[in-house]
Amino acid sequence: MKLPKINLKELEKFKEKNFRERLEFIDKYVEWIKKQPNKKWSSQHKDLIDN
Amino acid sequence: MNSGYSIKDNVIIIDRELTELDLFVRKFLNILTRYSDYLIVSGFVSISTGRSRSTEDIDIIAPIMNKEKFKKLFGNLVKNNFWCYNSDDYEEAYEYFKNVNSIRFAEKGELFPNIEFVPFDSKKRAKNFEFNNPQIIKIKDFEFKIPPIEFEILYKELILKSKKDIEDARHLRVFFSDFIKKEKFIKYKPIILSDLK
Repeated sequence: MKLPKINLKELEKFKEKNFRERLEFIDKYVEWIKKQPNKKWSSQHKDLIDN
Repeated sequence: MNSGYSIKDNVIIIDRELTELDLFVRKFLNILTRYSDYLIVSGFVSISTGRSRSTEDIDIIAPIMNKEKFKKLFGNLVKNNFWCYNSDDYEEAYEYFKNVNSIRFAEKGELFPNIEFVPFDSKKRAKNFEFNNPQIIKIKDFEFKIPPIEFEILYKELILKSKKDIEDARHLRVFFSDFIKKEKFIKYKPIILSDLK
């Protein structure tokens, strides 16, 4: 079986970019929370945690 | 603009609905607090403040208690539908606990979520500090103790350092951007790093 060639440096860059994007998402998510009525964001949070 | 929380008498009040996870933790704490002080640390801290992830366990630290008190706590937990992963026998479970090994409790018939009940080593300066300087959080009628927010952020960034912890810390930094204080970060950093020595 022929194994795919993996460029580890590119993979590392991809992982770093992905992690940066995840942190940026957290910033946007909290910004969204602060713009919503508490009832709205908290019911979505509850749905996520409870399921 | 809504900040997601308010402060009253040094208590952080999060105006949100209670989740099933909150109710599970509250049930455990209602029993634990009859016998011991405690502090909730790690994942639940950021989740309770709106972080968009769940957890399979909730870390609660407590001082090592004597065997008699532990027996009563254990018995009361079992009576209230909890079971202990480590043993059905309180004496066996106590052997873990008194030797600073954590034990886990879940509701009968379940594995998740569970409480990781962690005895704290009073020789650890950071653990002592966070335990003796708790921050109270209140969600509806559920009040509980966590480390100071700045302490929790630094602990995740400097000690735990997994991607999940860095993300949790980021959430806390942004959510509490109006509350956290630079001077506290400066004060807490050497305390936290002292446990690495």
